[in-house]
Amino acid sequence: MSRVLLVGILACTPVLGAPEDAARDDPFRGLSERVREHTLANGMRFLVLPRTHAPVVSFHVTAAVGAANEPSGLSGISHVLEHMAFKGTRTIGTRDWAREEPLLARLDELAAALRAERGRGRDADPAVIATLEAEFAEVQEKAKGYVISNDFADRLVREGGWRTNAFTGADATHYVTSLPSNKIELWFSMESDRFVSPVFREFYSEMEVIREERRMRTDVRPTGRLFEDFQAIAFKAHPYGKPTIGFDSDLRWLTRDDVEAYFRRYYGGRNLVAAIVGDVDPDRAFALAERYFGRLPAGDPARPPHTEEPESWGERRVRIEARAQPVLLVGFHRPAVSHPDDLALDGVADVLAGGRTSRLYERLVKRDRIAAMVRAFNGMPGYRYPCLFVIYAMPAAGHTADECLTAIDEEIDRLRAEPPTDDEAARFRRSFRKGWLDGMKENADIASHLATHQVFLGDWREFFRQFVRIESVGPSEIQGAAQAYLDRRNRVVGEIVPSADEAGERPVGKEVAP
Amino acid sequence: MSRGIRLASLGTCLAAFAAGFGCRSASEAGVRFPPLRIVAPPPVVRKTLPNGIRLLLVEDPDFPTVDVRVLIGAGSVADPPEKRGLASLAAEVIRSGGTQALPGDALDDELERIAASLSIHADIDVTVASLSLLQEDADRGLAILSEVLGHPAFPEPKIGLAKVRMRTAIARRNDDPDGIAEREFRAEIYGRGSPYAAWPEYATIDAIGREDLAAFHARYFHPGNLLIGVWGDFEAEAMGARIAEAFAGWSGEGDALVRPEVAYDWKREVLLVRRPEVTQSSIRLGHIAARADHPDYPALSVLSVILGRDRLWKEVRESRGLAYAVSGAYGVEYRYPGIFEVSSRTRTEKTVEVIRIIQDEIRRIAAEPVSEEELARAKDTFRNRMAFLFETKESVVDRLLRYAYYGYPEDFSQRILKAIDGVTADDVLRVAREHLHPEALRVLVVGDAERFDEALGTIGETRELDVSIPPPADPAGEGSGDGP
Repeated sequence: MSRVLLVGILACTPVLGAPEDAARDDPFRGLSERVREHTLANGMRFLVLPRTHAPVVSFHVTAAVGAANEPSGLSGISHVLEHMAFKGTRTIGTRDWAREEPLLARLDELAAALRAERGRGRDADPAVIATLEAEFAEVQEKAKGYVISNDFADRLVREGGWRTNAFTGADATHYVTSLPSNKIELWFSMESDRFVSPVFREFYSEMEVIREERRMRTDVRPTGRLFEDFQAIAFKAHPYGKPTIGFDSDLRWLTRDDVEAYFRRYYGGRNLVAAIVGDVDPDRAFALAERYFGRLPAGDPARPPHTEEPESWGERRVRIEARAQPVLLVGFHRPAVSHPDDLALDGVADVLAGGRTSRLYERLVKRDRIAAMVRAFNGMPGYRYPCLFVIYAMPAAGHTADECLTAIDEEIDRLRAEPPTDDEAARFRRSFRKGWLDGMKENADIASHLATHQVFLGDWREFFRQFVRIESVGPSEIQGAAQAYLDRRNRVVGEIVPSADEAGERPVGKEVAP
Repeated sequence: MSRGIRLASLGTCLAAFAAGFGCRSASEAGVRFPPLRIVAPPPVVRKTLPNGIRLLLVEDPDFPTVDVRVLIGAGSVADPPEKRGLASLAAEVIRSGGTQALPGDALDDELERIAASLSIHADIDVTVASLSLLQEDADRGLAILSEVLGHPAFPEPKIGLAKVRMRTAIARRNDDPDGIAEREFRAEIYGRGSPYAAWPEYATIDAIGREDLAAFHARYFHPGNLLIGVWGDFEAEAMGARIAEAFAGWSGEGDALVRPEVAYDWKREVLLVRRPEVTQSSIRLGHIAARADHPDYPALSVLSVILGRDRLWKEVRESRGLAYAVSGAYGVEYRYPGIFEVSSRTRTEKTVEVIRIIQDEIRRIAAEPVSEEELARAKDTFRNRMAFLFETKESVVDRLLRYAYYGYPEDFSQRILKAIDGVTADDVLRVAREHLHPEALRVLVVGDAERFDEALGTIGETRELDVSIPPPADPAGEGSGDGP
């Protein structure tokens, strides 16, 4: 990458808007031109960027399937599949697939029978359930005997796998790892296997793990509860209102067959993008891609949710009473990340709450001391579809969410009434560029940017274009975005209110024991 | 989770790269791997300035940025008991208050104008300042850094603001049940009142005045107590000269940070914090551990990985589905003993079952040798991750700074890795028997005790902890000494 080119780009500001530069949509020609692409017959796209400073490679696979694609009744299924991705294949994770397979099939039959019987409600026969459960436990114990627990991750880790993980969001599911660069073929072999012939073993115990995860993230954390309810009322129609972790009743209902069927349909080549960044030869990578991932069927396109969130008729509010200090969330509907106003909305977030000189920090934290912290999140819970711009405030000890809300309202009104200063806009642009550079230092981060921009914007080059496009965000663009979207009349407000009862009570809505 | 050192931050050794590698067969389809490409570690330039400040520099021409990390020999371990929170408060106001020439708001303004970030944080036995900015602003940034760290103004209004924020944190410290578990467990291990497990209260925050902050600064912020690491787009000798110039005004002497000894009371205890509103318990088990310079550290690292990331994961999570979160580590610290700590979170009605499983696993690893497979897996993990040593210049600088700061040899990681390679199952068994004490575990649970699967008392005699926050003197919660 050319040093001179980079320094030149950063030193000049409005010049980039000049006509002769308009054709140059990629200032980092050195870097972006080294990205190579290859698409398999099944639709799976590979993006490879060589960086040879260290003998390591980072891999980032994005499946364009997330919580927002889930049909009603299957909430959490994408996240379940993320967990299942570590359960192995016919060769990984088992001592004897031939013996294990019929046991898993029997478990599925019993699970279906249990679900059918329980589904009869008051007519369910407890004796039948007891018998089924007893056999289920017995077969499960036998099946466990054939399992090599955590084998998939262990094999990677043993070969030097670093930061091996997966995560699910509203828009997509991501699978990441980094390996020493002489182990590239191991990744292709194992990663393709987990898509081509996964075995969702330990399914029923993993569902318990996921229910624990739900408890940990949401049920026992007042802030977790707040976010779940907040997004639910913000989106009464669009599936962004559903939590990625899923609802407990949906999780208890799921069987392995449901999950396998969903996987076969939507986790095929056409919905996958893989970005590989590091000490890698692109031609070798593409050859390996053909050899290992070529076996994967294309699958169906992911179901884009056709339900749109209708325009709000007014403000919506939710209050969570909890044994906790106050928290405030204020949300506004905004368009998807592909909309031209996206960068201007980043500008709004920065001007309002970007740093210590932002408007809300100066007023709520420094001047009035009614908040200890204030942040803006731009694009929640996902951003592939129309989403939310959210302001978060932590009231200072002795102060309330309402005080913070009043002050936030006034600052938003001010931004809508008058454009920010040239200074504020310039500050935003510079901070954006600095952040962009910081995001280019680690292979794993670059791989993430390439894959996500390809999936969400249809072109990885958008990541580089943004660096130039940011120059066009000035005071009037930022004010325009605030006027268009930060309208008090249809916002969403959520808060945690400290409960009066210090002794603490049983939570409302008891858990049903399994 | 123990706050000890992660062995993933490793040292440098060209030979070690070549040694552990060569053709290996893959676990899948008999794939054979080529040897790992050898990459020379980045050159590190080391200097000591005339006034005693130690400096190390690593060039990174790929990005037009400069990053600086300053380690200062100060920390909360030195807080007087009646003024707990002093180091944190000082760090916050050094940053927010600016200097006489560049007061806080003007400092914020100038930094954000150039998209530079400056943060200062006081940890237990080290205070860390970080500056990140574009290369073209490096000189101005260095000058600001030196001024802010060297001549903080500690203005009263900013002290008042920092106190508001610290009081807000105090008020919230029981909002998350797992946060309670982590905090209280640490206090039980190091002892109530130990500076290694101290936290501020409203009264201690009130008691801190401007003179305390200034005295703290005068004691610890002197050249002999500073270590500076820099990486980015520069030529090392030239940048060394620029830093020398920016920090030329530093002079004088002060104190070195004193770390008190830890006197551990070996006893078995079961502690409970009642939280009837939660459906999931937070569990901690463990006892005191060792320092990183203990001769058994290599074998203990292997033990830690097998018990914490292998066995516990499989027994509690994978095979029984009892928890999403389960982890364990024999934690070490550089200059004081760490904590052997196992943590997990499970639904209320499985709490005691999970505690028993964890206890059994601790007993088991001290009773029988680990398998050759487990041993090989742990050792391979350490060895094969060496390829990531030089992925970022930041990790190189941070590692070297820490070793220099804590008085460890530069090649500490190399030595440990080499030693790990030679660890046997017998070694693991020996250190498990010497260092793990299943009969003297402290167990702490935060949860809805009325609904546990068994009474917690079946694990051992149980003592209940009262974690309620001592109220502020001023009921409005604002406290005194705020300043205008």
